[in-house]
Amino acid sequence: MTSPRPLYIIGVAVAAVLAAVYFMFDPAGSGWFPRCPFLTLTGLQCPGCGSQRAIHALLRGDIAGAWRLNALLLIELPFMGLLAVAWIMRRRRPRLRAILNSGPLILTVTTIIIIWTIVRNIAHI
Amino acid sequence: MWARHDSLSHDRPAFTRQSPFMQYWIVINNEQRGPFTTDQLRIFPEFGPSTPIWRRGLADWTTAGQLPEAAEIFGHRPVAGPAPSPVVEIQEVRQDSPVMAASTPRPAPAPDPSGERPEMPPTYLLWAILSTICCCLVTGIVACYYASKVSPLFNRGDFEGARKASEKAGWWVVITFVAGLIWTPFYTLYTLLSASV
Repeated sequence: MTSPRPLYIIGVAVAAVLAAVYFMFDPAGSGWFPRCPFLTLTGLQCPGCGSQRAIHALLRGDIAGAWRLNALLLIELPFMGLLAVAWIMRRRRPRLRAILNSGPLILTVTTIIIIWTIVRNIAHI
Repeated sequence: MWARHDSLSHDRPAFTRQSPFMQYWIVINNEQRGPFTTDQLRIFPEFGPSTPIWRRGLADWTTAGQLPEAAEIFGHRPVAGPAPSPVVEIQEVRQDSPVMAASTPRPAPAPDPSGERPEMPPTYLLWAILSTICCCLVTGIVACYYASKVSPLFNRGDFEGARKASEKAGWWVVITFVAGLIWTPFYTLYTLLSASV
């Protein structure tokens, strides 16, 4: 973690390969994609269940489909992008980083994830 | 680096109110340095409104942009222009050096016993969310919990506690991802085998 530049390059390369794979293949119809361990072990949906199919739908431009598969993912993707930007620009914009990483905000995000998990298992979404 | 704009005489009365009497300690590249006058602060290319700074009369470190005299400090930032004559440079140094020598009682900035305010350690929130979504609910939530403790501890001045919370958040993320990486090939193998049987 001392030299960030090679890490960024590796990260972008991995993301590009994953995006290509998820664009070309539909996880719903293939046994090659990993199934959620939480769902397999407990029979309950985890907050991320449906993410692979949702990313496939998103990459194909099907936003409504992605929303139906995992609504939380669609909300969190922009937030995670913002977090990444705040980290890269932490020297120039320390306030943005401080706001996004503040304790109450992280607890709120965590609570949203837990509530989403409960709601989706009750309502089967 | 010692560039100064031409309207020197006009600026004089403005900043002599603070310098050479007011002395500042700053943190540049994670290193505490000082004391400096406002003139000397402006020499540092890294010195900007977000630079951590402390002077007498402040309860805690702040950023240079939030000082009451910020406009005065940054309003006279040297502009890249025609180089000043070397005579001016030598005179400036001579003017400042007695002030520096006279400042023997240097108080260590009070709120920070180690003498340095480090950068806030990472919360790994992005990775905690990713690991929660990608793999394991429980361990990802634990990572989120430790991530939420970093900033409050850091703001309270407990840098060591913040560092430990950051490390724990990081390790829970690693545990989550490793668990996912172990799980994936086994599960794929299992489904492929059971499909072919």
